[in-house]
Amino acid sequence: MSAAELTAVATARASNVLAELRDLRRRLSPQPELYAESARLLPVLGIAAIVLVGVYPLFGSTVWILRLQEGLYFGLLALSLNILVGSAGMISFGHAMFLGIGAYTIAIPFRDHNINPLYLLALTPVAGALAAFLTGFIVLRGRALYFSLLTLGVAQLFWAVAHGWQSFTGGTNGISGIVAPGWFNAYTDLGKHLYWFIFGVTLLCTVLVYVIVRSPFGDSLRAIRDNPRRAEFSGMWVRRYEMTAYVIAGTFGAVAGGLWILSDEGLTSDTLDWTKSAIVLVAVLIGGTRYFLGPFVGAIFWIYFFDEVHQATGKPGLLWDSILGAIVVFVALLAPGGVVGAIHTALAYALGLVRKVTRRPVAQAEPADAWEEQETVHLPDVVPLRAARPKEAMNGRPPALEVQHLSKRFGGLVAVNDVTLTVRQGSIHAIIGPNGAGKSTLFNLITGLHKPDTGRVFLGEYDVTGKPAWKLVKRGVGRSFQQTNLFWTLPSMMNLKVAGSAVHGDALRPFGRHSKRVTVRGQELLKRVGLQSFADSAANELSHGDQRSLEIATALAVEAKVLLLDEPTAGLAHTDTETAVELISRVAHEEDLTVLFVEHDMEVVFGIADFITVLDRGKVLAEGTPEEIKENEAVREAYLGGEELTQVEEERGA
Amino acid sequence: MMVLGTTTEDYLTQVIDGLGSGAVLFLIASGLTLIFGALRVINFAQGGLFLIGAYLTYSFQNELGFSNAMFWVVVLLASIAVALCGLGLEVGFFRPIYKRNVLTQLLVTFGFAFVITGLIRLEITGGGTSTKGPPPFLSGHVNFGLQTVTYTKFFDMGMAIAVAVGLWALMYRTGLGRMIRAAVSDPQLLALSGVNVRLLYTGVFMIGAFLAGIAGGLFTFEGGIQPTNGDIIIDAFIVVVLGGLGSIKGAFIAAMLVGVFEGLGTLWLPEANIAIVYAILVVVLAIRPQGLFGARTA
Repeated sequence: MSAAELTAVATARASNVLAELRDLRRRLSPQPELYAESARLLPVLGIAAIVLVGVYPLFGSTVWILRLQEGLYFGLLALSLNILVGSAGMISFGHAMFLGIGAYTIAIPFRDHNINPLYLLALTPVAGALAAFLTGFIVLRGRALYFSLLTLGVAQLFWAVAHGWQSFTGGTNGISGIVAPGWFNAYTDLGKHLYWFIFGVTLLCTVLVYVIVRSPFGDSLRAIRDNPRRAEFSGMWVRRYEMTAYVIAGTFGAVAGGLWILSDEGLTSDTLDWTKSAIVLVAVLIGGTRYFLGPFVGAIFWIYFFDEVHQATGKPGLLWDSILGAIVVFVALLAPGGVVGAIHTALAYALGLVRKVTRRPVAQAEPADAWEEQETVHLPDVVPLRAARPKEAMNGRPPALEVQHLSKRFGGLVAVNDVTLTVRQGSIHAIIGPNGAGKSTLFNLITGLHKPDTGRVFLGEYDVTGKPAWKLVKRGVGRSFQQTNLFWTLPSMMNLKVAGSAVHGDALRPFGRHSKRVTVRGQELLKRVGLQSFADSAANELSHGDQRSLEIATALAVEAKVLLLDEPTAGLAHTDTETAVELISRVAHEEDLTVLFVEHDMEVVFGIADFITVLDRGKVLAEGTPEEIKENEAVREAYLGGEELTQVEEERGA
Repeated sequence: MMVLGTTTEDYLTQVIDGLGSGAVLFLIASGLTLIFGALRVINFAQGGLFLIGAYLTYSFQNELGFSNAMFWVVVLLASIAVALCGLGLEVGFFRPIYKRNVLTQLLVTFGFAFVITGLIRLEITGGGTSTKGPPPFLSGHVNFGLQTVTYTKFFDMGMAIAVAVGLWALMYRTGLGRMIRAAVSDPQLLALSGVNVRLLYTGVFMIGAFLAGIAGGLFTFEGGIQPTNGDIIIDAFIVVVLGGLGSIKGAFIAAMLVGVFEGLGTLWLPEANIAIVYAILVVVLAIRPQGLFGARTA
C-alpha cells in the first residue's frame, strides 16, 4: 500500500472511532428532560448554599470566613457585571471602575471628615448610578467589541486619575484605616458582625438583582442580546434599555465597592487597574453566565484557587499566574457553562442513574402554560382566500400609509426614484418587481433603516420620514424581514410578550412580570398562528415555517395597524407558503389590518392583494387592482411574461 | 520659544521620544490588528508574546554574544521563536474557539496572557532583570540644546516604517495578502474556492506573533524587562481601537499619536501622564465610535 492509501485507511479508522465515541456520548448523556428537571433542583441548591454561607461563622474556620466574606462582595460585583454580560450580552471590560467609585465614596469623606463608613455606604449606589449614567453616554456609543474596549478605556482613565491625583485619592499610597465604629466593625466578635452585615447587604442586593433580571426589563435585555434589530422593531429604543442596564450594573457594582472597603479597611489606586476588571469578568465566566448565582460561585472559586495556588507555589508571583491562566483556559474550552453548568450536568447524569435503577419512565416535559386543551396538529383553520375588494370601496377609505416622492441614491445607483404610493386603510397592498427594483430599499426607507434623500413618509397624519424604527412601531407599524428575524433563544411566548410589553411601555419595568393584557394577547396570537403547543420552545428550535408564523405574530404583538412584510413566503415549502398566505389574509381580515408586502410568488400576490404596485429600476411602473395589473401592457411586457421576466433579470445581471 | 519654562528643544525631544515609543507600540498593535482583521479574535496573549520576544532577545544575547551583527541575528531568532510559540498557541488552542462566542475567545486568550506572564516570572526572579541595552551602533545620541535623544528612538521609528510598508506590500501586492483580505470579508466563500483557510489563519497568527517578537526585541533597548511589561497590551489595544479595528494604517497613526501625546504629557502634566492615552481614546471614540480608520459597520 502506498503512503496515501495508508493515510486514507488511518483517517477512515480514526473517523470511525470518533463516530463511535460520539455515539457513546450521546447514549450516555442525559435526556433534555433530565436537564430540565435538574434545572428545577438548582434553586433548591442555591438557597441551601445561601443559608450555609449565612450561618457559616457560627461553626466555620477563620480562613473560610474571610474567603466567604471576600466572595460576598466580589460575587456581588460579578453579579452586577452579569446583568450586562449574561442578560444584555454587553461584555464590559471596565467593571472595576464601579468598585473604585464605591470604595472612594466611602474612603475619601471618611478620611477628610471622619464620617461613619456605614452611612457612606448608603451613598455608594447613588455614586455608582451617577458614574454609570455619565460614562454611559460614551461607552454606549460602541457596540459589541467597541463597547468592551470603550469600557476598558474609561475604566483605565478612572484608574489613571486615581493614580495621578495623589492629594485627593491617595494614589498608590492609598487610604487606610477605614473602620466602622461600634457593633459592625471588623474587631467586634472576631469580625463576625461585619461578616453578617456584609452578608445582609449582599443578600438584599442579590434579591433586588433577581427581581430585576426576572422582570419584563430583564426579558427585554435578553431579547436585545438575541437580536437588537428585532428589538428595535418591537418598539424598543435599544440605547435606552442598554443605558438602564448599565446604570443598574454600576449601582450594584458601587455597593460591592463599598462592602469591599468595609472589609479591607483601605485601598490603593493600583488595585483598580484593568486586571481587576478582567478578573471579575473571569469570575462571571467561570461561574457560568446563564445561572443566576453563577457569579458568586465563580467569585468564590477564583478566590479559593488564587489562595491555594498562591500558597502551593510558595513565593508570591512565582507560578500562580500560569496555573490560574491554565484553569481559565481549561474552563473556557471544556466547560462553557462554567462551574454551575458542570454541576447542572452532573445532576442530570445523577438523575439519569437514579431513574434507571428505579426503572421509572422518563418524565415527559409537560407544557407549562396549559391555558387550554392542546392540539396535536397545529394547522390554522382554513379560510378561503378572499376576493379582492372593489376598488371604489377601498378608495373611499383614508390612507394608512403614504409615501410621497421618495428617493434614495447609493453612490451612482438610484435605488428608489421618486416613488409615490398610497396604502388605503384595511387594504392588502403588494409590491412586486424584478430583483433590484428597489422593493427592500423602499421598505427600509419607510421603516427608518435608511434615511431618504428626498420625499416624505406619512403614517396617517404623522410625518414619520427618517424616524427610527421604534417610533414607528409605537405608532402601529409591524415589520417582518426577508430573513426570519426573531429573539432566537427566547421561547415563542416570550418573543410575543417582550414585543407586547415594549409597545405598552412596560418593558422598562424592572420588577414584576409581564402584564395580564400582554400575556393574554400573546396566548391569543400564538393560537391564531397555530403555535400554541410550542409556547415554551425556543424560537431557534422551531421549523422554518413556524418561525415565519411566529415572526408575523411578533409583528402583530406590537398591536400593529399596518403590517410591512418583506417576502413573507421566502424560503418556504409549497404547503408552508399556503399556510402563511392564509394566515396573513385571515389575520388581516379579522384585525382589520393594513398590509403592505413585497412578494415574488405571483400566485400569492394575485391571490390576496387588493392593490398591486409594480416597481422597476426604482420607479413605479404601474399600479392598480390585480385585474388592472394583469391587463397592463407595460407590466405584461416588462415583467409577467415568463420569458421576458427572465430576460429582464438577466439584463439586470441578477 | 519658552512656554511655562519649556524650550523648543524640550518639545522636539519629547516628540521624537514619543514617536520612538509609538513605534514599538505600533509593532505590537499591528500584529494585534492583523490577527483581529483576519481571525476576528482579540488576542490578549499578544502582550505575553511581546514579553517572550523581549526575554528571548535578552537570553540569546547572553548565550550567543552581543555585537552589531549578532543583534540582527538574535532579534530575528527571537522573533522566529515567538512566531513558533504563536503556531503552537493557534493550532493547539485558538483554532477550536473561532466559532465559539466572544466571551470564550476573551477567556482563552486572556488565560494565556496569564500563563505566559507566570512562566516569565519563573525565569526572571526578583521582579525584573536588566538587559544589555542597545547594540554598539545604536548606543549614541543626538543633542538638541540641553536635551538628547538616543539613536534607538530613530531606529525604532525606522523599523516601524519598514514594517508598515512591508505589511502594506504583503496585503496589497502579494497573493497571500489578497487571500487574507478575502478571508476578512468572507471566509466561507474563500474556503469554497479551494483555499485552506485554517492554514491561512495559522499563517496570519504567526505573522502577528512575529511582529510582537520584533517589538520585544526592540524593547530590550530600554535596559530592563519586567513581567508587568506585558501590560503594554492595554496600550496596544487602545491603539488598535483608536485606529479602527483591523486597520494597519489606523494603528500606525494612532500609535504615533499616543506616543507623541505621552511624550508631551511628561512636559505638561507629569502626574496625569498615564491618563493621557485613555483620555485620547475616550475623546476620539466619543466623536468617531468606529475609530479613526475603522469601517462604520465593524
